[in-house]
Amino acid sequence: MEARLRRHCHGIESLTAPSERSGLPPEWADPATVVVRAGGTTDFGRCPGTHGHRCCNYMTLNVYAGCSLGCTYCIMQSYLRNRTLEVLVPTREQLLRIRTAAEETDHPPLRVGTGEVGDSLLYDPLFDLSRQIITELGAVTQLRFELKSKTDYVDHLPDLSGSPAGVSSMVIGFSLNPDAIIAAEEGYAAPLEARLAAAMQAAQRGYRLAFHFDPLIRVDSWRELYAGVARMLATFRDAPVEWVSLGTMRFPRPLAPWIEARPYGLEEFVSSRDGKMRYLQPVRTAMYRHMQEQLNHALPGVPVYLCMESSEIWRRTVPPTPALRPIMRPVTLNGGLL
Amino acid sequence: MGATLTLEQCTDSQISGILARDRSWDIFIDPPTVLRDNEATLRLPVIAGSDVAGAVPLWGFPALRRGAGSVLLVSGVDRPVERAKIALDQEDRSGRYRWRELAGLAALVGLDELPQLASRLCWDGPPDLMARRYLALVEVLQDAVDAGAVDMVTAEGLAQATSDPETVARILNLAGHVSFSNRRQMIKLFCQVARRESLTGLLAEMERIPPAERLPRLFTRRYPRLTAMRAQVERVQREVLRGTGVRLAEPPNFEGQRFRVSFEVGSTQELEQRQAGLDRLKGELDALLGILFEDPEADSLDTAPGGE
Repeated sequence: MEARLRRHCHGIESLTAPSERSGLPPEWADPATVVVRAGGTTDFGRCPGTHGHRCCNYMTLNVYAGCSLGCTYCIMQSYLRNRTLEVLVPTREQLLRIRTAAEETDHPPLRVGTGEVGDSLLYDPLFDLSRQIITELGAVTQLRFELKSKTDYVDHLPDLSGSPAGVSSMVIGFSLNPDAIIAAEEGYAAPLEARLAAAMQAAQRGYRLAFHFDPLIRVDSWRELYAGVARMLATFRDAPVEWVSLGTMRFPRPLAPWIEARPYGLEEFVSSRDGKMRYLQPVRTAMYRHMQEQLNHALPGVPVYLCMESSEIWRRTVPPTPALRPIMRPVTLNGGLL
Repeated sequence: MGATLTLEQCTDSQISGILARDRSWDIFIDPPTVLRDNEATLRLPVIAGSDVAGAVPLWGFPALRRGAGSVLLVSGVDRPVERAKIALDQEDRSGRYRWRELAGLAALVGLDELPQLASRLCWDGPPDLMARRYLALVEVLQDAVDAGAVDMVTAEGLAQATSDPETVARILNLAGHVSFSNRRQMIKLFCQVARRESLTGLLAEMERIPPAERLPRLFTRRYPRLTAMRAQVERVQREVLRGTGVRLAEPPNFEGQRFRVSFEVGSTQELEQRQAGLDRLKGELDALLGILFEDPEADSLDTAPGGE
């Protein structure tokens, strides 16, 4: 792990001032710069979701903003490629706000995660910021706090298997794709087997799990490839898997030149209601149905939901099981929206 | 030593000698006649050197060719990039420079020195990077970009598809008769389809069909599912609703779960026609709604290359 970490961090230097990325002198405003500052009030809130598509009521805490994994489909590979990495050190106020929100939410558990604008674990062995979150929030029963990653960096996380409840509120979420796609499109991300091994390790150490098939990419033999990954998840049948999310490949229109240069960019993409380019609706439907079927076999009873999808597709692909309720209910505190 | 500028009067033979000495700075596109005549009265040609006898012409070739009597002699400036600054200041163009001019400057001052001219060139991007992109193209594409027939991004896409100048010329020729936007779209579609199919086969096929059919044919090949879905709606409109005055429209890009059915009426007879159309449409509705969520092509595209 250390060798790979060094590769990710090669050439990165740290700067203690100024405290915001926008205040950097131009010669520092590049990917080799790390800006470290305390998290602010705007760094915790509702996942912005996307216009005209169904929300999964997820809250986000920005801790690592930016990523150097180099996935070809990622927005950060194109017009954000020159952004610096921001490390937003969680404050006691932020963590207290999350704890309060979880304890007062009308429909527990409250789902919060740090993987919205960067990988939750890629730089965590260096900065060790998750430890503070785990220490402060790991025992909040009405909370599911997710660290989402494409790495296998879990060694540094504290062992929670001895906690009184047996399993904590912390969720380690692994973004998955078939190895062929990982090798071709996911840059320095860990191989599938390594991610799954890390997931098993995390489960054994008292963490809950989540899996994300996002983006699902329509390549040759996609049915078989994704079915193969789903089958591998059967080994987690007895593990505390909290949820699985699905999202098909999508991108904002300005990203089209980068996407179309890739082999998977030759699929048919059309503009959706939010202006993002997506596979045709029947293609997406077919992909979601296939994944639902596979996941129902591998992980029966685990809620599977869609990320940034229309209500029409939800209705046709996701059975409204009770397990989905916490995910689909708007986050409210004492009757009011958070 | 700093630059000094002196006004010199030259004889015709001196001008001929200056022009004959070195034409390497003759890189700017001649201005239109009306501007040129005006220019001659406003700005004098510039030559560089210690004296007229050994000077190299820097700027104002059209005027020199016409035998201008007065020139500005700039001395003490030897570095090409400094000379280029003088030439660009004298050119003082309000619009953008042509690609070919940028490449000409790059050849004179060196690609690495071009950024020093950025403020004078007014390009959208770093001039050295732009020149590198231009110079990386085969000549036929350079000409097309320079002439404004295609944009740089489209040209680069085409360059990725083939590096053979003759093939490039044939592909450009496919789209020779259409507007800039349609040409751009055609070339882009051609290159994308050619990644799935044989380029030579596709090119030969496109050359065989009438020009007006090329863009629709390429679109169909690039977007077979979308085309098939549209065709189903068009078939119902054409075969089922023909003459009824009822219009059928799918949701935008087939995103959604409802079709729009619309009509206008101006008489009882028309209303009866519309009603008859709606009755016929009833028999097609389930199939129509099905295409919104059932993939018409199944996995037929899975033979395409999907990984590297």
